[in-house]
Amino acid sequence: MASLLPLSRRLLLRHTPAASILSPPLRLLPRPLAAIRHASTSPSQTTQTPLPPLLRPANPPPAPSTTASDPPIDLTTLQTYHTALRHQPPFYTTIHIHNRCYLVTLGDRITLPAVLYPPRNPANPLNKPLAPGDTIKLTHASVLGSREYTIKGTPFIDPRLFTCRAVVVEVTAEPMRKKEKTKRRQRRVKTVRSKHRYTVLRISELAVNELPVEFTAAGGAAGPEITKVVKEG
Amino acid sequence: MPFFKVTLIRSGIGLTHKKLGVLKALGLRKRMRTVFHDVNPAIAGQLMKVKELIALSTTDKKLSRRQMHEKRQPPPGFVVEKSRLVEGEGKS
Repeated sequence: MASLLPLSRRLLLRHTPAASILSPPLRLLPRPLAAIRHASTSPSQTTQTPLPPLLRPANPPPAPSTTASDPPIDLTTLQTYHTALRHQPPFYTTIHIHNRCYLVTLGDRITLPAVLYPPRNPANPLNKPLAPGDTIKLTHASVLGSREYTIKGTPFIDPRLFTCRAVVVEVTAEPMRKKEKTKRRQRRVKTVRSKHRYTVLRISELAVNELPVEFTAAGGAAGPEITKVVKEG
Repeated sequence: MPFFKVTLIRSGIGLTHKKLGVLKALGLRKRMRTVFHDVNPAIAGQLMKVKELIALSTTDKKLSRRQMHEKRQPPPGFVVEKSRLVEGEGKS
């Protein structure tokens, strides 16, 4: 599952001063993000005493009172921080294309050192490479974050948590390079030519999705879920 | 149906011609070559001949070399949503 940072902020979210003043039904309303940010800047509030049990809301998601050993706490914290992350654009993410990682944000141009071939697909028997104008959806990301919150995958984040699309802007090549190779005591000169090809992508969409309903129940690793999505596409 | 999955870990260089012949019969030409064989007494006897050189396990599925290669590859990390060149590209 996603591990969320930092730990101190987890405590702050639960025990903001506004939270202790408000009555339980009011606390269920979405708290202003400014309050969260300001709370994180003042160190004195970290030592604030925990809420009395009466003030804690009955619903577990906003403020879990369970211990760390309780299994649902991971999902509950994920839900809390995921909501916070969603409301704090712009986002960044580290996508993985053929095991190469690229840290991108919306509007970035990335140059891949290869011509991209789509994954094997029965609908595409010729398996042509991607051409300018094609849209791809990136499914493997190891880090997804904003200014203050980050979701880290082990090794990848579940692809249902985010939407990242890219458009192929350009399929290009470098100028031809020629290198002359010689051996001693021989007149023969071998010319080695190389001309590498590149694909240029532009990140056209980067968004954090709403937490899927089934995600609250499922807690396993992201691996099998990722492969499932790849097969669908 | 189970299969023997045999990988040649140590080379057969320097062994007797009989053992080299067994390796050849099993289809183990180079180190790290993996082959699949049916489970039967004849194969088991061959494997016992060269048991010092191989890594052995049983599997339910026989994989081709291409499948084994693809299994080792990292995930491509993307799916094509819209392609101008190919009609009916995956619309997920």
